Amino acid sequence: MFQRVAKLWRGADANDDQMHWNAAVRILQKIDPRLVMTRLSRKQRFEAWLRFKLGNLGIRNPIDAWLNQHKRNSSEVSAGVAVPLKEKHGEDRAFEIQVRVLEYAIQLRKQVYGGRRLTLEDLPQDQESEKTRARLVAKGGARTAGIAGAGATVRDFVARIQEDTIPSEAQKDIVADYWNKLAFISWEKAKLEKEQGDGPWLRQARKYIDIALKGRPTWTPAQLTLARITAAERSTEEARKILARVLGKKNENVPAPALPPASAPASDAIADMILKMAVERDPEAVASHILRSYGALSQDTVRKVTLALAGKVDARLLNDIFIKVPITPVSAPQ
Amino acid sequence: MGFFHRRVRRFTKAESFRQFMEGVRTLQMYDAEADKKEPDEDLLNQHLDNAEKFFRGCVETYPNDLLPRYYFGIVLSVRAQVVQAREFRSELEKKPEPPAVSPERLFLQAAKHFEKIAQQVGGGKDGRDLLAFSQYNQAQALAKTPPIQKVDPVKNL
Repeated sequence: MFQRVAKLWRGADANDDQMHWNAAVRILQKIDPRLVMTRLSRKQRFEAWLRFKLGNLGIRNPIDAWLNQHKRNSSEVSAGVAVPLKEKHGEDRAFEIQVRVLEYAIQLRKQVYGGRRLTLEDLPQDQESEKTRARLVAKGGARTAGIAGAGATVRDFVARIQEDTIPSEAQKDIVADYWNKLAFISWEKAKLEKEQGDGPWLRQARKYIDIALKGRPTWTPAQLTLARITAAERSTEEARKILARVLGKKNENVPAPALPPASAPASDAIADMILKMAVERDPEAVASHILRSYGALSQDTVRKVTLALAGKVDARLLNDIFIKVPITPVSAPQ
Repeated sequence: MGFFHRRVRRFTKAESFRQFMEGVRTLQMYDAEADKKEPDEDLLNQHLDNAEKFFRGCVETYPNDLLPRYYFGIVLSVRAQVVQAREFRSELEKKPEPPAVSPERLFLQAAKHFEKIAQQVGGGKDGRDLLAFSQYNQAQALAKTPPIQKVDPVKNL
């Protein structure tokens, strides 16, 4: 019933083909609900409030439908998700920018696949032009609240990030993540435009990925994007080399690692045996069984058995058992 | 519902904590190998399999423990990325191999686990942080899925 209502609410322009992405945007907006409201008009805020009240009455689907239907216009998307960030410092601020970067990337991806026109001019050209743009916004927005004002966007924040209070490692993460996402989106667009070998979107993707890899040269997601772009540029062999860095290379000489010792059979089996025999509370009999089956135990094995049985077997009983079993100071073969 | 919320660092049993720590240790070994200039593919696979096994065991046996579930979500996302890379490599080598599980499915599974954490997590600073990070990771996993193809009603008739 409610699904039918939701369909009516959405109207004819529903965008169900991107429902995972819409869900992602809703989740990101939930991380700090105040951020969602700041850019909506008075009428939209009232509608949202009304739907929030309906949501409290258990009518969730219409709310979701409404959030799906609220699409940013093209200029909003290409300018960056136009949501002011709170005045915060350090790690919190870094995390918040990452949240907004992800939302921006999803909106761009929706635009790429949604048929609305996304042009190269809408997107950042390079780091320097973005810094210049951000400085202009900061000057223009001084009358409001500087770089954190309503005119500032994710693009401005990322451009100005090095002058911010965010720790340098987090700065590198955000910058790499942001440019890698742009590179991936440009590569996707190049694929849709059927560009092969060379083309404007592919050239832009290459520019973005080079910036992303400057600060984080071995970061796996960026390596994967690099491999995709390189293959689209028809350098298949080079793309395979990049993939080998991501997936590793087959090496016949190195034996496969053993499972971590904690899952070794002896300690598990001994713990199991103690657990089953604990009900008889006869430490001497249990110790004899262990000795007959496994011989002397290593300190390592005793430690693992103790850890495995903590909270399951009476500590005194466990102690009485191990007193009667010879213990070798070095690891015994398991 | 607040009454049922869980403390982030709480483990139901010592065994849950042990499995969780083994999983984290194995994941660190995976990271260390992946950071090498020429990582070994078998070692990478082995470490990721082991990490997944430890966290999965923890989540299945102790479903209320939050940290193992969070790390399980991370491992599933990493696995999805690896499957994507493998698929791409097969495409380049023109040797298409159908993957055992699709990356999309792994991303959606990861998103489900992060969603569950967001529902279970309690208050306090740790709780708030884990809630925010889980929501972010859930959105990240969903955002990495491919666009869902529109069904053409005319073709379907």
